[in-house]
Amino acid sequence: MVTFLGLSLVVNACSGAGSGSTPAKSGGTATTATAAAAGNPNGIVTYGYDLSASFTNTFDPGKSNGDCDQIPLSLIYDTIMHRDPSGKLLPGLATSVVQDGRTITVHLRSGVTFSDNEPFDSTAVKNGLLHNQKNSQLTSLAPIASMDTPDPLTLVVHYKDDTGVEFVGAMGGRDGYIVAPNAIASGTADKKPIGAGPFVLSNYQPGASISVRPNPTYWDKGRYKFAGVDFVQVGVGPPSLTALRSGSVDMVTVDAAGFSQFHGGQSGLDVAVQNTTAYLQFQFRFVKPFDNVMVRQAVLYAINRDEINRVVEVGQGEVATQEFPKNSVAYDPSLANLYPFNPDKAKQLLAQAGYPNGLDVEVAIPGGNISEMEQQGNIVQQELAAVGIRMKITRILGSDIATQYYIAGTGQAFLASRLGSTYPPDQVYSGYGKDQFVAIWSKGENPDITALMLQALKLGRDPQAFELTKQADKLIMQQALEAPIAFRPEFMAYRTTKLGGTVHAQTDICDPADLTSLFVKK
Amino acid sequence: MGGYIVRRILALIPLILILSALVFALSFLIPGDPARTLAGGLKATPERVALVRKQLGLDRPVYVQYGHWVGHASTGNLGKSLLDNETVGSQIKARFPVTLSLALGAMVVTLLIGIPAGILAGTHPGTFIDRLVTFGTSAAIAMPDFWLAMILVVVFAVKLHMLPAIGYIHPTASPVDWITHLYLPCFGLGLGGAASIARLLRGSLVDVLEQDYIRTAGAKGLKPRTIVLKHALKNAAMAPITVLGIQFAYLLGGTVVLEQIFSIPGMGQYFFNALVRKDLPVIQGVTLVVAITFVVVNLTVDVLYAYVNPKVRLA
Repeated sequence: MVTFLGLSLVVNACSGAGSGSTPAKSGGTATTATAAAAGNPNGIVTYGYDLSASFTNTFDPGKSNGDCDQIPLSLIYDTIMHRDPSGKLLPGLATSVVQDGRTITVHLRSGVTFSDNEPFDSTAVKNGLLHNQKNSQLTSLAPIASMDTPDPLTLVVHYKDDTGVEFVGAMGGRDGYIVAPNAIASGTADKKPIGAGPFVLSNYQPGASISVRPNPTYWDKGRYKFAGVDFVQVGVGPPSLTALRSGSVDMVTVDAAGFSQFHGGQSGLDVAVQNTTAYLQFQFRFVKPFDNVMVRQAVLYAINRDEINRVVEVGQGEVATQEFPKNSVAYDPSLANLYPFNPDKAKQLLAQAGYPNGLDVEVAIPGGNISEMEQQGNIVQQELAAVGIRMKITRILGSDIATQYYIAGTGQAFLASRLGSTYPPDQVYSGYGKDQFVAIWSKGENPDITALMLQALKLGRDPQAFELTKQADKLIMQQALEAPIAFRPEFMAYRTTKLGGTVHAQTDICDPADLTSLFVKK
Repeated sequence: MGGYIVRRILALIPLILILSALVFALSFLIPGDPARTLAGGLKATPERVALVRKQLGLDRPVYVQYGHWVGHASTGNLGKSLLDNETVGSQIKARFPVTLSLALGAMVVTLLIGIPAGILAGTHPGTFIDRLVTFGTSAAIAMPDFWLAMILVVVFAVKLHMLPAIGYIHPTASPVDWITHLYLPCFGLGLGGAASIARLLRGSLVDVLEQDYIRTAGAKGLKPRTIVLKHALKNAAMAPITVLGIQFAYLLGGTVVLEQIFSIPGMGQYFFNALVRKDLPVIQGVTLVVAITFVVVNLTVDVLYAYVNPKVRLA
C-alpha cells in the first residue's frame, strides 16, 4: 500500500498534480544541447534581486523570515524534492516522499554529502527539520509529532493531524532546506551556511550582494552549466529595468511594464514568461451588500476579465473562470462559461436583489502605488460603475492587509492578487475552511466546503482529493463566493547577448527561478 | 568660545530625550502587526501570534517599552530587527558610512559647483554670466533630485555606458570603483543644493561688495581677487553656512530615494524597507540616529557661525 502511494505520489507529481502552473513561454531560444558548445563553464550569472527588501539577512532556514530568501538559499541547500518550472514535484535530495495517512516516509538519495563532506543521512535530515521547526513561519513543520530514522536513508515523519500532504509539498521549498549538523551545532548557519546544494556561499555584502560558487561535493554535477551566481541589489520597478539596460545585471524579475519594453529580443534583451497559480481576485466580505448572492453574481457578470488580463497582465496571463487554471488537476471545464461578461445581466440581478438604483461599496486594494493593482482597481471601478455599483477605493499597504482589511474590517471587499497553492485542496480550504484566517475575517467559513476539503486533505494526492476539490470549486463559483479574474504571469527579463539556453521566470513571486537550463555565452 | 560650546552641548541632552520620545511614539502610529508577520502571516494561529507578541515584548504597556528602549539606546543598543535577524546597531554601523559617503559626496558637489557659481554671479551682477548662473540655478532648483538622477542614469549608464547604473563598492575594495559608483548619485543629490548655495552667495556677495570697507580695500590697491576671496567672501558666507547645515540634513533625507534608484545599501534603503515592513526597532533606531546626526550637524554649524561671527556667542 505504501509503495503504491509512493509511486502514485511521484507519478502525480510528475504529471502536475496540484501544481496548477503552465509550462514556461520562455524567451530563451537556444537549446540546452548547444550549451556545451556555446556555454562558458566559468561564466558567472549576475542576477538582479532586491536584497534589501526581500532577503532577511540570514542563510539559516531556521531563522529565515521571508519566503523570498528561497531565491539564494535554494542554491546553497537544494531541496528534498525538486520542482520544475511548471511547479511539478520531482525527486531531489530524496528519491521519493511517501504519505500514508499521518505517516510520511522520506527515502533519501544515497551518496549525498554536505559541502563540508558530512553525510546527508536520515539523522542529519531529522536534525535539520527539527532545527527548521523552530521557525514559526515554516508552518508545515509545526504538526510534526515525531520522527524515526530506521536506516541512514529512510526518515519516517509522524504527523499530529491529517495535513501531512502540506509537508510533502513544502519539501520542495524553504521548509526542506537542510542545514549540515556541524553548522547547526556551531550555530553558524546564519552567516556561514553549509548545505548539500549545488553552490556554496562565497561572499555576502548585506544589502548589496550575495555570491555563490560551485560546491565540489554536489551530488548532481553538471546540473548547472555555469560557475556561479552573483545576486546584486536591484530595487523593483524602474531600477530593475535600468540595471538590465545598462548591463549591470544579466537577468532580473520585471513587471508587466518591463515585459512590454523588453520582449521580442530587440536590443539584446528578452523576457521569459511563466504562468503561475497566483490570480487576480475580487474577494468578498460576506456582509451587506455582498451577503446577497445576486449582488455577488452581478459583480461576476460586470467584470470583463479579458480586458483586465489584456491591460494589467499585458495579455500574458490566463483569464480565470474559477480558482484553478486550465492545466490544473482541479480545473473544471463546466465552470468556464458560468459568468460571461454581461453588464445587462448584472443590472438585472442588482434590481432583483433590491438595488434598482445601484449601490455604494468600499473596496480595499493593495497600496504603495503598485501599478498592476492600481490599473485593476481603476478598470473594475469603471466596470462596476457601468452597472450601478459605485466603488470607493481604499488603499492598504501590503504589510497592513491582515490587520486593516481582515481584522479591522476596512472595506466590504478586497481586490488584489491571491497566491495559489501547489496543492489545490489546501488553497480552497484556506479560503473557506473552518478556523482559517481569511475565512474567519471575511466571514466566509463554509461548512460544506470545509467538509469536502477535510476529506480531500486526508486523501493527500489521491485523484479523489482533486475530484472533491472540483466539487468545492463548483460550490464557490455557483454561489459566487469570489470573483477570480486572471492568473498572473511572472516575467524574467534577461540579456540575450550574455545568457543562452532556456531562461525561466520564477514560478511564483518568491519561488526561485530554474537556472538549470541556461548557460553563460562564451 | 569654549563656554559657548559647552552650553550648546548641555542644551542637547533634553532635546535628544524629547526627540527619542517623539521617535518612539510616532513609530507606534504606523499601522500593522509585526507579531502576526513574524508568526507566519495569515496562516498563523492566534496563540502563535500572542506568543510572538510576548516574545517581542509588544504586549507590555507603551511606557514600559519606551523605558526599556531608551535605556538600551543610551548604551548604544538599539535592539534587533524584527525581520532581518540583525541588530539595528550593526546594520547602522555598516550602512551609515555608505550614506555618509553619499551625503558628503553630494556636499562636495554642492560646494564645488555652488561656491564658484555664486562668486561668478555675485562679482558680475547684471551681466550675461549672472543671468546664465541665475537661469542654471533656477533650472536645477526646479528639478527634483530623483528625476535628475534618473536622467543621469539614462545618459551616462544606459546610453553612454560611461558610469555604473547601480551599486556601491566599498572604498577598501577599490577606491576607484567607489568613486565611479558615487558620481551619478552624488551629482543627482548635490546639484539642487549647489543651486541654492550659488543663489544665496550671489545675493550676499552683491550686498557685501557694495559696502564701504570693500571700497576702502580697493582704494588701498588690493587685487580684486584678494578683495573677494579674503574680505568679501567671509562676510558673504554667513547665510550660505547656515543653509549648508540644513542642506546636510536634506541630503541625508534625500538618500532615501536616491539609494532606491541606485540600489545603494545605505541607511535610506534600510529605513525605507523597514517602513514598508513595519520593522519598528529599525524605524526607531534609524530615525533616532538621523535626528541626532542632524542635531550634531546643526551644533557644528552654529559653532562655525560663532567662529565666523563672534557676536553670535554673546546672544
